Amino acid sequence: MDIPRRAADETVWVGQAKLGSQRAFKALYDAHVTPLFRFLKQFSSADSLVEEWVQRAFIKAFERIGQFQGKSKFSTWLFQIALNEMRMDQRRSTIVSFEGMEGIAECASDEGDQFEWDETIRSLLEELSDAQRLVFILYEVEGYTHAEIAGMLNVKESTSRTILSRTKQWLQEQWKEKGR
Amino acid sequence: MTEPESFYSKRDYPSSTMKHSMWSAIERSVFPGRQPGFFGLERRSFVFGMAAAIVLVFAAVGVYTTARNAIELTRPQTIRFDQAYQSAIREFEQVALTESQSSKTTAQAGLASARRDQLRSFDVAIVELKEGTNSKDLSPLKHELLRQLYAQKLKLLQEMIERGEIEL
Repeated sequence: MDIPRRAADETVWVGQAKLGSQRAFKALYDAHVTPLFRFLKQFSSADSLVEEWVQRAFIKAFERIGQFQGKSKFSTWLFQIALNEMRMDQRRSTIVSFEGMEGIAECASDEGDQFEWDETIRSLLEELSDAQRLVFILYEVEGYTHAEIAGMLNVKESTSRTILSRTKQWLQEQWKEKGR
Repeated sequence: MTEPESFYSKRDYPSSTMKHSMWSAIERSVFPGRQPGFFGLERRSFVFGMAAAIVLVFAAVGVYTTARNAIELTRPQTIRFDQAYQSAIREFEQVALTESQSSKTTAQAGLASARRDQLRSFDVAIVELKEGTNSKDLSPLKHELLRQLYAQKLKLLQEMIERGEIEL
Protein backbone atom coordinates (compact mmCIF):
# COMPACT_ATOMS: atom_id res chain seq x y z
CA MET A 1 0.00 0.00 0.00
CA ASP A 2 1.36 3.42 -0.93
CA ILE A 3 1.84 5.78 1.97
CA PRO A 4 1.37 9.43 1.06
CA ARG A 5 4.73 11.15 0.95
CA ARG A 6 3.71 13.79 3.48
CA ALA A 7 2.45 11.21 5.96
CA ALA A 8 5.66 9.25 5.57
CA ASP A 9 7.67 12.42 6.09
CA GLU A 10 5.63 13.23 9.16
CA THR A 11 6.31 9.82 10.67
CA VAL A 12 10.03 10.44 10.16
CA TRP A 13 9.80 13.93 11.66
CA VAL A 14 7.94 12.62 14.71
CA GLY A 15 10.54 9.90 15.16
CA GLN A 16 13.36 12.42 14.94
CA ALA A 17 11.55 14.85 17.22
CA LYS A 18 11.33 12.11 19.84
CA LEU A 19 15.12 11.91 19.64
CA GLY A 20 15.30 15.66 20.27
CA SER A 21 15.90 16.94 16.75
CA GLN A 22 15.18 20.66 16.67
CA ARG A 23 14.99 20.52 12.88
CA ALA A 24 12.22 17.90 13.07
CA PHE A 25 10.28 20.06 15.53
CA LYS A 26 10.57 22.97 13.11
CA ALA A 27 9.34 20.80 10.22
CA LEU A 28 6.30 19.73 12.26
CA TYR A 29 5.68 23.33 13.26
CA ASP A 30 5.86 24.54 9.65
CA ALA A 31 3.46 21.82 8.51
CA HIS A 32 0.81 22.44 11.16
CA VAL A 33 0.98 26.06 12.31
CA THR A 34 -1.27 27.47 9.59
CA PRO A 35 -4.11 24.89 9.87
CA LEU A 36 -4.07 25.20 13.66
CA PHE A 37 -3.99 28.99 13.66
CA ARG A 38 -6.81 29.45 11.15
CA PHE A 39 -8.93 26.94 13.05
CA LEU A 40 -8.41 28.59 16.45
CA LYS A 41 -8.98 31.99 14.87
CA GLN A 42 -12.66 31.00 14.57
CA PHE A 43 -12.93 31.28 18.35
CA SER A 44 -11.28 34.63 18.95
CA SER A 45 -10.88 37.79 16.96
CA ALA A 46 -7.75 38.70 18.94
CA ASP A 47 -4.65 37.57 17.08
CA SER A 48 -2.52 37.78 20.22
CA LEU A 49 -4.78 35.33 22.06
CA VAL A 50 -4.79 32.88 19.15
CA GLU A 51 -0.99 33.16 18.94
CA GLU A 52 -0.77 32.27 22.61
CA TRP A 53 -2.98 29.20 22.20
CA VAL A 54 -0.89 28.06 19.24
CA GLN A 55 2.37 28.56 21.13
CA ARG A 56 1.11 26.74 24.20
CA ALA A 57 -0.21 23.87 22.07
CA PHE A 58 3.12 23.40 20.28
CA ILE A 59 5.15 23.73 23.47
CA LYS A 60 3.04 21.07 25.21
CA ALA A 61 3.09 18.83 22.14
CA PHE A 62 6.89 19.04 21.91
CA GLU A 63 7.33 18.50 25.63
CA ARG A 64 5.08 15.43 25.49
CA ILE A 65 6.18 14.11 22.11
CA GLY A 66 7.41 10.95 23.82
CA GLN A 67 3.84 10.13 24.79
CA PHE A 68 2.57 10.35 21.21
CA GLN A 69 1.89 6.75 20.19
CA GLY A 70 1.19 7.38 16.53
CA LYS A 71 -2.23 5.76 16.75
CA SER A 72 -3.81 8.95 15.45
CA LYS A 73 -2.51 11.61 13.06
CA PHE A 74 -0.11 14.12 14.61
CA SER A 75 -2.52 16.90 13.65
CA THR A 76 -5.38 15.22 15.56
CA TRP A 77 -3.21 14.98 18.65
CA LEU A 78 -2.03 18.58 18.24
CA PHE A 79 -5.58 19.89 17.77
CA GLN A 80 -6.64 18.04 20.90
CA ILE A 81 -3.90 19.75 22.93
CA ALA A 82 -4.76 23.12 21.39
CA LEU A 83 -8.46 22.72 22.16
CA ASN A 84 -7.65 21.86 25.76
CA GLU A 85 -5.49 24.97 26.01
CA MET A 86 -8.26 27.10 24.56
CA ARG A 87 -10.92 25.59 26.79
CA MET A 88 -8.78 26.02 29.90
CA ASP A 89 -8.12 29.65 29.16
CA GLN A 90 -9.75 31.54 31.97
CA ARG A 91 -9.59 34.78 30.04
CA ARG A 92 -12.11 33.53 27.53
CA SER A 93 -15.51 34.93 28.33
CA THR A 94 -17.27 31.73 27.31
CA ILE A 95 -15.49 28.49 27.99
CA VAL A 96 -16.39 25.80 25.50
CA SER A 97 -18.46 23.29 27.39
CA PHE A 98 -20.15 20.09 26.41
CA GLU A 99 -21.97 19.72 29.68
CA GLY A 100 -25.56 18.76 29.14
CA MET A 101 -24.87 17.48 25.66
CA GLU A 102 -23.65 14.05 26.67
CA GLY A 103 -27.11 12.74 27.43
CA ILE A 104 -28.89 13.95 24.35
CA ALA A 105 -30.51 11.41 22.09
CA GLU A 106 -28.59 10.35 19.06
CA CYS A 107 -30.02 11.57 15.81
CA ALA A 108 -30.04 9.85 12.49
CA SER A 109 -26.71 9.54 10.71
CA ASP A 110 -25.65 12.65 8.87
CA GLU A 111 -23.01 10.99 6.69
CA GLY A 112 -25.12 11.11 3.52
CA ASP A 113 -26.51 14.53 4.23
CA GLN A 114 -24.61 16.82 1.90
CA PHE A 115 -24.33 20.28 3.29
CA GLU A 116 -25.00 23.16 0.96
CA TRP A 117 -22.38 25.79 1.60
CA ASP A 118 -22.59 29.50 0.92
CA GLU A 119 -21.75 32.85 2.50
CA THR A 120 -25.08 33.00 4.34
CA ILE A 121 -24.16 29.89 6.26
CA ARG A 122 -20.72 31.40 7.00
CA SER A 123 -22.39 34.35 8.73
CA LEU A 124 -24.83 32.06 10.55
CA LEU A 125 -21.90 30.23 12.15
CA GLU A 126 -21.30 33.30 14.31
CA GLU A 127 -24.63 32.58 16.02
CA LEU A 128 -23.67 29.04 17.00
CA SER A 129 -22.26 28.10 20.38
CA ASP A 130 -18.52 27.38 20.54
CA ALA A 131 -19.22 23.67 21.00
CA GLN A 132 -21.42 23.54 17.91
CA ARG A 133 -18.99 25.57 15.88
CA LEU A 134 -16.10 23.34 16.97
CA VAL A 135 -17.77 20.16 15.87
CA PHE A 136 -19.08 21.69 12.69
CA ILE A 137 -15.70 23.09 11.54
CA LEU A 138 -13.74 20.01 12.60
CA TYR A 139 -16.08 17.75 10.65
CA GLU A 140 -17.18 19.86 7.71
CA VAL A 141 -14.05 21.91 7.08
CA GLU A 142 -11.08 20.11 8.58
CA GLY A 143 -12.37 16.68 7.58
CA TYR A 144 -11.98 14.87 10.89
CA THR A 145 -14.16 11.85 11.59
CA HIS A 146 -16.58 11.71 14.51
CA ALA A 147 -14.27 9.25 16.23
CA GLU A 148 -11.37 11.72 15.94
CA ILE A 149 -13.54 14.64 17.08
CA ALA A 150 -14.79 12.63 20.03
CA GLY A 151 -11.17 11.88 20.98
CA MET A 152 -10.17 15.52 20.67
CA LEU A 153 -13.07 16.87 22.69
CA ASN A 154 -13.22 14.00 25.15
CA VAL A 155 -16.87 13.27 24.42
CA LYS A 156 -18.70 10.25 23.07
CA GLU A 157 -18.72 9.74 19.34
CA SER A 158 -22.52 9.79 19.40
CA THR A 159 -22.42 13.22 21.03
CA SER A 160 -20.32 14.55 18.19
CA ARG A 161 -22.77 13.10 15.65
CA THR A 162 -25.75 14.56 17.43
CA ILE A 163 -24.22 18.01 17.79
CA LEU A 164 -23.34 18.09 14.13
CA SER A 165 -26.73 16.81 13.04
CA ARG A 166 -28.61 19.38 15.10
CA THR A 167 -26.27 22.15 14.02
CA LYS A 168 -26.79 21.38 10.37
CA GLN A 169 -30.52 21.11 10.87
CA TRP A 170 -30.58 24.50 12.53
CA LEU A 171 -28.37 26.03 9.85
CA GLN A 172 -30.56 24.70 7.07
CA GLU A 173 -33.68 26.10 8.72
CA GLN A 174 -32.03 29.47 9.13
CA TRP A 175 -30.71 29.37 5.59
CA LYS A 176 -34.19 28.63 4.22
CA GLU A 177 -35.68 31.45 6.28
CA LYS A 178 -33.11 33.93 5.06
CA GLY A 179 -33.57 32.70 1.51
CA ARG A 180 -37.25 33.51 1.51
CA MET B 1 -17.41 18.67 3.18
CA THR B 2 -16.23 22.21 2.54
CA GLU B 3 -12.73 22.94 1.29
CA PRO B 4 -10.73 24.76 4.01
CA GLU B 5 -9.47 27.26 1.42
CA SER B 6 -13.00 28.38 0.61
CA PHE B 7 -14.11 28.40 4.22
CA TYR B 8 -11.33 30.40 5.85
CA SER B 9 -10.85 34.03 4.93
CA LYS B 10 -7.54 35.82 4.44
CA ARG B 11 -7.62 37.35 7.92
CA ASP B 12 -7.78 33.87 9.46
CA TYR B 13 -4.25 33.07 8.29
CA PRO B 14 -1.12 33.94 10.27
CA SER B 15 1.39 36.28 8.63
CA SER B 16 4.99 35.13 8.17
CA THR B 17 6.04 37.55 10.92
CA MET B 18 3.54 35.99 13.31
CA LYS B 19 4.74 32.51 12.41
CA HIS B 20 8.34 33.53 12.98
CA SER B 21 7.64 35.17 16.34
CA MET B 22 5.56 32.18 17.51
CA TRP B 23 8.37 29.79 16.56
CA SER B 24 10.91 31.95 18.39
CA ALA B 25 8.80 31.78 21.55
CA ILE B 26 8.33 28.02 21.21
CA GLU B 27 12.04 27.52 20.54
CA ARG B 28 13.00 29.55 23.62
CA SER B 29 10.65 27.48 25.74
CA VAL B 30 11.40 24.00 24.38
CA PHE B 31 15.14 24.43 23.74
CA PRO B 32 16.28 26.92 26.38
CA GLY B 33 19.91 25.79 26.37
CA ARG B 34 20.18 25.40 22.63
CA GLN B 35 19.82 28.93 21.37
CA PRO B 36 22.18 29.27 18.43
CA GLY B 37 25.07 31.63 19.07
CA PHE B 38 25.92 34.59 16.92
CA PHE B 39 28.20 32.53 14.70
CA GLY B 40 25.63 29.76 14.43
CA LEU B 41 22.93 32.18 13.40
CA GLU B 42 25.10 34.02 10.95
CA ARG B 43 27.21 31.14 9.69
CA ARG B 44 25.91 31.36 6.16
CA SER B 45 26.24 35.14 6.06
CA PHE B 46 29.75 34.85 7.49
CA VAL B 47 30.82 32.38 4.77
CA PHE B 48 29.26 34.51 2.03
CA GLY B 49 30.90 37.60 3.50
CA MET B 50 34.33 35.97 3.59
CA ALA B 51 33.95 34.74 0.01
CA ALA B 52 32.86 38.20 -1.11
CA ALA B 53 35.85 39.78 0.68
CA ILE B 54 38.29 37.41 -1.04
CA VAL B 55 36.74 38.09 -4.43
CA LEU B 56 36.91 41.83 -3.67
CA VAL B 57 40.63 41.61 -2.78
CA PHE B 58 41.41 39.75 -6.00
CA ALA B 59 39.38 42.25 -7.99
CA ALA B 60 41.17 45.16 -6.31
CA VAL B 61 44.60 43.64 -7.04
CA GLY B 62 43.54 43.08 -10.66
CA VAL B 63 42.31 46.66 -11.02
CA TYR B 64 45.49 48.03 -9.41
CA THR B 65 47.79 45.95 -11.66
CA THR B 66 45.88 46.89 -14.78
CA ALA B 67 45.89 50.57 -13.85
CA ARG B 68 49.62 50.50 -13.05
CA ASN B 69 50.43 48.82 -16.35
CA ALA B 70 48.25 51.29 -18.21
CA ILE B 71 50.01 54.24 -16.53
CA GLU B 72 53.39 52.65 -17.25
CA LEU B 73 52.56 52.32 -20.93
CA THR B 74 51.47 55.94 -21.22
CA ARG B 75 54.85 57.24 -19.95
CA PRO B 76 57.32 58.59 -22.52
CA GLN B 77 60.00 56.20 -23.65
CA THR B 78 62.78 58.38 -22.23
CA ILE B 79 61.32 58.15 -18.74
CA ARG B 80 61.01 54.39 -19.09
CA PHE B 81 64.67 54.18 -20.16
CA ASP B 82 65.66 56.21 -17.13
CA GLN B 83 63.70 54.00 -14.80
CA ALA B 84 65.09 50.84 -16.43
CA TYR B 85 68.68 52.07 -15.88
CA GLN B 86 67.98 52.99 -12.28
CA SER B 87 66.35 49.68 -11.65
CA ALA B 88 69.23 47.75 -13.28
CA ILE B 89 71.86 49.60 -11.23
CA ARG B 90 69.89 49.16 -8.00
CA GLU B 91 69.55 45.42 -8.60
CA PHE B 92 73.21 45.16 -9.56
CA GLU B 93 74.33 46.93 -6.39
CA GLN B 94 72.09 44.80 -4.24
CA VAL B 95 73.64 41.53 -5.40
CA ALA B 96 77.26 42.69 -5.90
CA LEU B 97 78.11 44.96 -2.99
CA THR B 98 80.37 42.60 -1.11
CA GLU B 99 83.94 43.45 -1.86
CA SER B 100 86.38 40.59 -2.25
CA GLN B 101 88.58 40.32 0.82
CA SER B 102 90.87 37.61 -0.53
CA SER B 103 94.48 38.20 -1.59
CA LYS B 104 94.35 42.00 -1.63
CA THR B 105 97.66 43.71 -2.26
CA THR B 106 98.23 47.36 -1.44
CA ALA B 107 97.96 48.27 -5.12
CA GLN B 108 94.72 46.35 -5.50
CA ALA B 109 93.27 47.97 -2.39
CA GLY B 110 94.17 51.39 -3.73
CA LEU B 111 92.53 50.62 -7.08
CA ALA B 112 89.38 49.36 -5.40
CA SER B 113 89.23 52.51 -3.29
CA ALA B 114 89.61 54.65 -6.43
CA ARG B 115 86.79 52.76 -8.14
CA ARG B 116 84.52 53.20 -5.12
CA ASP B 117 85.24 56.93 -5.27
CA GLN B 118 84.32 56.84 -8.96
CA LEU B 119 81.05 55.10 -8.16
CA ARG B 120 80.24 57.72 -5.54
CA SER B 121 81.06 60.45 -8.08
CA PHE B 122 78.63 58.90 -10.57
CA ASP B 123 75.95 58.78 -7.86
CA VAL B 124 76.51 62.43 -6.95
CA ALA B 125 76.46 63.47 -10.62
CA ILE B 126 73.22 61.57 -11.24
CA VAL B 127 71.54 63.02 -8.16
CA GLU B 128 72.65 66.56 -9.05
CA LEU B 129 71.36 66.19 -12.60
CA LYS B 130 68.02 64.94 -11.40
CA GLU B 131 67.67 67.45 -8.58
CA GLY B 132 65.31 70.27 -9.34
CA THR B 133 64.15 68.49 -12.48
CA ASN B 134 60.82 66.77 -12.76
CA SER B 135 61.59 63.12 -13.53
CA LYS B 136 58.79 63.10 -16.08
CA ASP B 137 60.02 66.20 -17.82
CA LEU B 138 63.71 65.72 -18.69
CA SER B 139 65.13 67.68 -21.62
CA PRO B 140 66.74 65.61 -24.41
CA LEU B 141 70.18 66.94 -23.45
CA LYS B 142 69.78 66.14 -19.77
CA HIS B 143 68.35 62.78 -20.67
CA GLU B 144 71.34 61.93 -22.89
CA LEU B 145 73.75 62.99 -20.13
CA LEU B 146 71.89 60.95 -17.54
CA ARG B 147 71.93 57.91 -19.81
CA GLN B 148 75.69 58.26 -20.25
CA LEU B 149 76.21 58.47 -16.49
CA TYR B 150 74.13 55.33 -16.00
CA ALA B 151 76.02 53.50 -18.74
CA GLN B 152 79.41 54.49 -17.27
CA LYS B 153 78.38 53.45 -13.80
CA LEU B 154 77.20 50.09 -15.10
CA LYS B 155 80.42 49.68 -17.07
CA LEU B 156 82.48 50.41 -13.96
CA LEU B 157 80.50 47.90 -11.94
CA GLN B 158 81.02 45.33 -14.69
CA GLU B 159 84.78 45.92 -14.68
CA MET B 160 84.94 45.59 -10.90
CA ILE B 161 83.15 42.24 -11.12
CA GLU B 162 85.39 41.02 -13.94
CA ARG B 163 88.50 41.94 -11.94
CA GLY B 164 87.16 40.22 -8.87
CA GLU B 165 87.02 43.44 -6.85
CA ILE B 166 83.44 42.70 -5.85
CA GLU B 167 81.86 39.29 -5.44
CA LEU B 168 78.57 38.18 -6.79
